[in-house]
Amino acid sequence: MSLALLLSLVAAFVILLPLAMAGTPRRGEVLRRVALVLVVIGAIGLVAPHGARGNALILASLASASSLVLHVLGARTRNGRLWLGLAALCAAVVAVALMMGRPEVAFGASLAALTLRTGVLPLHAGVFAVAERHPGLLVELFGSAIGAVLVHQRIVEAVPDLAAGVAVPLVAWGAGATLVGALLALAQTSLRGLWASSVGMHAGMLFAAVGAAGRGHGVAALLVVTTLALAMGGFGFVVAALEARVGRVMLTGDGGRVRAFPTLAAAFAFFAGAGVGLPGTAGFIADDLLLHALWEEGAAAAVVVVVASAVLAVALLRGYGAVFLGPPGRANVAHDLRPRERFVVAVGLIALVTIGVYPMVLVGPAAQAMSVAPAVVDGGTPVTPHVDH
Amino acid sequence: MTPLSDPIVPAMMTAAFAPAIAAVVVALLTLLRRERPAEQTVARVIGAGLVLSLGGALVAAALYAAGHPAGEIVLGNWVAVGSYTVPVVFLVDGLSVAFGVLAAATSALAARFSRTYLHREPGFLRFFMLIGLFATGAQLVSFAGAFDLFFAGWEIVGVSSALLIGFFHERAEPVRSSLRAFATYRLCDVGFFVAIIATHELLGTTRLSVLSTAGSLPEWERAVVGGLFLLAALGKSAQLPFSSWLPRAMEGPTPSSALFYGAVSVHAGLYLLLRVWPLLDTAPVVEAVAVVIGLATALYGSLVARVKTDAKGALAHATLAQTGLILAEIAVGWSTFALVHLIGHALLRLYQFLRAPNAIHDAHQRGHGHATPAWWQRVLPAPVALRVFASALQRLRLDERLDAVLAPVNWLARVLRDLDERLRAAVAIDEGGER
Repeated sequence: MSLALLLSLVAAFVILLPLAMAGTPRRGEVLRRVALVLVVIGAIGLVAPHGARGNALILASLASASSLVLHVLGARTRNGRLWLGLAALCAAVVAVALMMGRPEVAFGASLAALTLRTGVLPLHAGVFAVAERHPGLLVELFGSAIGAVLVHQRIVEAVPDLAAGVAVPLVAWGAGATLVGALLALAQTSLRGLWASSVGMHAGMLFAAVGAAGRGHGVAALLVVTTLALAMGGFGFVVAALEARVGRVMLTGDGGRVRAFPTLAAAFAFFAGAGVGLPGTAGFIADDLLLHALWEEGAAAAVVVVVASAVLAVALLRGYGAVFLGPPGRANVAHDLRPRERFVVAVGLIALVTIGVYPMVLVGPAAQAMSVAPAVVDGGTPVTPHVDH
Repeated sequence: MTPLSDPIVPAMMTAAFAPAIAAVVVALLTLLRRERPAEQTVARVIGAGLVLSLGGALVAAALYAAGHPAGEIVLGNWVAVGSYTVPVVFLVDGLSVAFGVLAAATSALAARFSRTYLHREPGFLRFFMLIGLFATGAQLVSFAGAFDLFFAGWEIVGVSSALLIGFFHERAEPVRSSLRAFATYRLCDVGFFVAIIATHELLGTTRLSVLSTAGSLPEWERAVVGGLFLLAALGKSAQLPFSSWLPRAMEGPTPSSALFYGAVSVHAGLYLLLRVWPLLDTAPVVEAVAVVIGLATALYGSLVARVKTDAKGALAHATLAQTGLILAEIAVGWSTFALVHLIGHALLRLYQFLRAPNAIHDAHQRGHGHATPAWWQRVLPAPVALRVFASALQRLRLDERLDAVLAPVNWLARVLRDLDERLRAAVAIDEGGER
């Protein structure tokens, strides 16, 4: 299976999630999803074995910016609009800088766009605001983050010295954000807060991976962002589906919902488990590759991320217990997951397990694509391919 | 790569993956049909997987006994990116086949016992699926020739263990106990994960065989990596100071208590130490620490077991006493003796745990025997004996002490949450903030 096909499946999953949540989409939602498809398709062109010309990179950056603009319009919170708007501005700056042959500016703007788009602590106010008000939108954003990471990886290849120079501080920042996100998750009192904090933790991991990508660990970054999209997207879907049935869920109540919603409970456990590196899922491989990459930048960063992952796992199991286990609550008339929702969960499950059991399906083509096709930015200098992890 | 025509390859693959495939079949039957599969179907499918697994392990053991050379069975790479590879390697030697056969046999026995014991239990299907997953995890631990594969099995064992402790999830206490066991596992597994990465970075690969070259590392690196492996083993085998989750784990169904905390899971940490012995042997500080912890756990388990009034609680602490002794035996280098002790102890405890409900029934029917004072009650002066008795009754307040150690983490988490809320409120432009 080619990398493009696999990433298309991932994108399809992320697009299907909000569809299954909201039913028939409204006009604005359709536009956002079209933009999401565009950004993913644009980015996939960058990893095609003989692609990755400068114009493709510019187009992908523009698609990324336009998808963010459409997400800004769909955000139901002013905070979300402000922060996502800033991310869109940064993505547009990337495209302009590439057109002007200034890859170093594009590198900085791309990093800023990624930070704001995924909510790396402490610049997470926008993502948390969207998580509070409109979880479905955030799930879409994760899908487009895959494209944004691929764009960034191509820019890194145009400024290898700069990327390598800032790798250590970026890794340190990402690792710190990972730990803070996990600790935040431990203290949350609502299910949405737990989800948002988990996203914050994973955003830290992604940022650390993106930092390490500056020294040739692009595949680790791709696996981390794929896990973020699939596992945290699936987790967000479960949170939204549950709250659509029972209203806002707090972690201080009696729980006891597993009898009423057994499939939802199983989906929660699976996606949360995948997010913390359950063996047999993409999360396990992503953690393995990421930690190997981080160790090379500094053993402390790797240890911090391992500790954060353990803390998040405890927080998620505690959350699972508080939401689903315990004495059965009031009789609930709401249905468990509907068939189309089950279908979406099944797609996510198959994607996560496929990558987890046979990771070379993603890792092999990604490594090949990232090492054989140097990104040539218009006006820039071709760079020598290097080994990726 | 080892050729697939080598008969030990299919034997080991069957031992490792037949139970998981059976669990997947049951999951598909559940998902694809409107009605849940019948108890008999579930028990037969999972039982078939476990019997196949036992057959595979026995064939591997027989081939090894018949002269198959000990060593690695290389099946390729799980992940290969540039120079970084995660190999799929199984290991054939006396240790792996002994532990593999033990794990497969006890899993099959416990499943057969559960078929009757859990009849009409609402969680019958869940229990058998978890046993199937556990059996695969245990086989991966037994036969893994690389730490990545070992860790995958190790985690599967941990997760299935935690979920089975919380099997009776409508009561609050099993849920709390499940969380405590999982938290202990996960925090101690930090040591394992970091040790694996360190092994790869320092020795160039995660194959277990590479530990024979550990002597080339500086002394402090050997001590640190050995200490990290020891930390993982202490958590999994419930050694001090992480012993308190084991008695709480008795909240699970009796067959899972027997399989996990009598036979296999509780010994997995000790098996890990036997596997990394070439490294431990070069780290005398770690060996000394392991001896002290092992003996302290043995003393603790022995003291508490004598004052416990419930059968499974007493058995859990008796298990601690023996695992502590086995840890000390491994640390002083008596590997063969420790392996024999481990297997004997696992089989005895499996029997005792499975028989515990009948023993309680018999005690009610025939009356309790007279309690005789424990040895320390006879030897120690009365005031000291009383204090020891009271401490043993409170299990040395291990839970409270661990909670006190972890309290700053919870405090820090709350402080960060409050700071985060203030930070987001400060930058919020919505009226009244975001929340």
